[in-house]
Amino acid sequence: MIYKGILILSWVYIVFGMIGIFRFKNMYARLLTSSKIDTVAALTIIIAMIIKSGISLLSLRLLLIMIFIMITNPVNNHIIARSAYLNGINIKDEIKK
Amino acid sequence: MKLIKENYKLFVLLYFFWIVLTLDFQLTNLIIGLGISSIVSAMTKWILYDKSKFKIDTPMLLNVIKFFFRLMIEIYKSSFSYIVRIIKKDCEPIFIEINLNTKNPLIITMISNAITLTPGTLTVDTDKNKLMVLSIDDPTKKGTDLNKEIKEKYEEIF
Repeated sequence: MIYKGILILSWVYIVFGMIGIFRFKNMYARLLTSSKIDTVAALTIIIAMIIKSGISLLSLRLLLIMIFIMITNPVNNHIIARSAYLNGINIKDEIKK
Repeated sequence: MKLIKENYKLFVLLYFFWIVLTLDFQLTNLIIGLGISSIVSAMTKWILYDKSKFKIDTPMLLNVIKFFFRLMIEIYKSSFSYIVRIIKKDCEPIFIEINLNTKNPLIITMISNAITLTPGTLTVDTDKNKLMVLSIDDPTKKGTDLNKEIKEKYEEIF
């Protein structure tokens, strides 16, 4: 029962993330919003699966996958933001949009 | 064989991960795991390991676990406040410079990773122990709040 609630919470995160991507017009805000979906929503889904499977070897594997996601997921957002910053996309011009 | 003997710790860790993730105790699977983990531990010889020891000072395991739990709490706290920002359509990102006290590259990487994981902040660039962070913080405060927050929350643990 609890895991269903947590799964619904993850859908809420995904829906609001998608709304945010279309709502904000400047690039950096969109980047921040997209990073929210693939960290928070993915973590929430995995936590729900861990609760569903209980104390077992499967949940240990899920925990390892979660740690792997936490280590590798920020890298893509970091690289997009860094390339935008190094290519000289001005943050003040973006805010005016 | 000599290389594996020198950095056996990494080899044992990799082999443990292989067994836990596959959970298949057939002989071929065990041999494939043995081969792959020995190749990886031999190839990282000059990157992670030196002649005598591990190149990077690793923090204590207890601190890492503490860091993990605090990170989870922070992620969920800031995700709710970010949803409110999306509804209000209030987002004016700025760049903030953060000076850390540590010079350990592993801890700097962990902290910048944690900053990127929390919704609303994103590490863009690093220069030794100076982090360039993209944040949705209020522009009038000039990031002093965020600077203090990150030092108190993450850096203090180590």
